[in-house]
Amino acid sequence: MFNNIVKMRIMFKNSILIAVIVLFTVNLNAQNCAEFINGQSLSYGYELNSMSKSGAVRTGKKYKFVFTLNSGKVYRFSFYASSSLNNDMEFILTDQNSGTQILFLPGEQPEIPVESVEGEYNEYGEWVEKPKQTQSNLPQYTAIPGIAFKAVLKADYYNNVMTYPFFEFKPANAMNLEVTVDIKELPDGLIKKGCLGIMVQDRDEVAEFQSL
Amino acid sequence: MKNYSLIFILLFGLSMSFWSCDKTKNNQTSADNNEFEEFEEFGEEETFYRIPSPDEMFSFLTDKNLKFQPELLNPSANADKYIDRKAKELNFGIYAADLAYTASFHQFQGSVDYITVVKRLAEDIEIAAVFNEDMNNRIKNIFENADTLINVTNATYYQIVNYLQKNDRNQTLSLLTAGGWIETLYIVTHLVPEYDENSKTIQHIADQKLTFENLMLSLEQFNDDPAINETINDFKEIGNVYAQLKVINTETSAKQNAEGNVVIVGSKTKLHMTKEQFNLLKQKIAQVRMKITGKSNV
Repeated sequence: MFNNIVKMRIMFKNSILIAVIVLFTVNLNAQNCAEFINGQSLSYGYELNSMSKSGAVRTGKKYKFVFTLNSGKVYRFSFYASSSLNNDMEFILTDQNSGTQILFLPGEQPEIPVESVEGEYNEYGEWVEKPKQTQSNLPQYTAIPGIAFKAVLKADYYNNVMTYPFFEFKPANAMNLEVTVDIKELPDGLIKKGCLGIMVQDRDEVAEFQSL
Repeated sequence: MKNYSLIFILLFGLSMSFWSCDKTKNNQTSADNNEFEEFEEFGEEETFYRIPSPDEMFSFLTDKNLKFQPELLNPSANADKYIDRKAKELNFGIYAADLAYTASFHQFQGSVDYITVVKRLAEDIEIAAVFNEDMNNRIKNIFENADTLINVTNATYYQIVNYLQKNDRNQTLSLLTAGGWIETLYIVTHLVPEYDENSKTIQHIADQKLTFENLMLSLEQFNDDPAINETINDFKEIGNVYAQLKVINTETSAKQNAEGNVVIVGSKTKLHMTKEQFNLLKQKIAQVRMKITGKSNV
C-alpha cells in the first residue's frame, strides 16, 4: 500500500515534469506570425515601411490588403509564407483607382527536373551523381516588360538560399494598391495554418539602384 | 531507473530546444498546425488597410523654403491633460507625428523631448514594452547624426505598430493612426506659405485623400467602439472637402523608367485641389486637431 502511494507520487511528479518540458518546447517551437518578417534583411538602398504586415493564415482562404502608396517613391513588396501552406497561393496586385490588375503571381509551378552530369567517385570507386537540380517554370503574369520580380515561393535548398516573390515599382501617381492573397486548399482537403508576411520597403525616387 | 527516465526527459527537452533554435536561425518555417493557435489570426472576410506613417509624409518635404516651425507642435506639457483612453491614444498619434516632424528637420533636442513624451504616454496606454533595452540604446545614440535620428524615429513608429498588431490592439492602432494623420496634415498644410497649383507639396496634400479614405475604412471596422465612432464623426467634414477634389488625366501609364530597371504603374489620373479647397481643408483639419489636442496654435 505504502509502495503504491510512493509510486503514484513519483509518477505524478514525472507527469508534471513532462508537462512542463513539453509546454516549454512547444512554446519555443511556436511561431509568432506577427514577427514573421522581422528577421528578413532589407534590400540595398531601401527602408522598411511601417505598412508591412504579417499574421497567421490558413489554407483555403483569401486575404485582402490595401496599401496607400505615394508618388515619388519606389516600393518593393516581398511576400513570405510558411512552407506548411504548401507554396500554393496566388498574389494579385490591383490598382484600386482604375481597377487594373498590375501583377499576378501564381506561386510555385510544377518543377521540371534538369539532367545533371555532375558527380564524384565515392570511396568504393563508384560514380555517384550529385542530386538532380530542379527549376521552376516561370509563371504567367500580366505582361509588363522589365519588371523586377521573382516568382519562386519555394526555398532553393540546393543553392542554400531562400527566395521569395517580390515586386519593385514606382507609382505614377498616388494610388491605393490592393493585394489579394489566395491560399489554395490542400489536395487532401486538410486545413493547415501558417504565417504570411508582406514586407513593404521604399526608397526615394531620386536614388536609382540596379534591381537586385 | 527513475534517474534514467529523468535524464531521458531532460535530453529530449534540450534536443527539442536546440532543434527549435536551429530552425529559427535558418529561417525555415515548416510548421505544425498547433503552433499557430495562440497568435493573431486574420479575420474571415476582413480587409487590412495599411496607412503610411507620418515620417513618410514628411519625407516629401523637399522644398528648401519650408522652415521648421516649432509653434505648430503640440507642446509636450499638454500630455498631462489627456485623461481618458481616447484622448491619450489620439494624442499618442499626435506626438508620434510631432516626433517624426522634428526628426525630419533634424531637430535633435526637440526629438528627445518628443521621444520622452511618447514614452510617457506609452506607459499610460500600456505599450511601454515597445521601449525595450535595444530601442532605448538606439534612442541614446541619436545624437550621432541626422540619419540615425530619422532611422530611430522610424523604427520607433514601426515597433509601436507591430506591437499593437501583435497584441490585437487594433482599436488603439486605429486611433493612433488617426491622430498621427491629422497632426501630419495640420503641420504640412501650415508649412505651405501659400497655395501654388504646381507645388509638389500641394499635390501630396491632395493625394492624402487616398490615405484618408483608407483611414476612415479602417476606423469603420471598429465603429462599435464609442471612441472610434466619435472620431469618425469628427473626421467627416474633412471627407466632405476631399470629396470635392476633381480627378484629372495625366499621360502616365505602366511602363519602364529611363533606367529601365523600375516599372512605373498606376492610373492615368491624379487629384487636383484648388486654392479654395486647400484653404477649406486646412481649416477643417485645424478644427479637428484642436478638438483632439485642446490647443489652437495658429
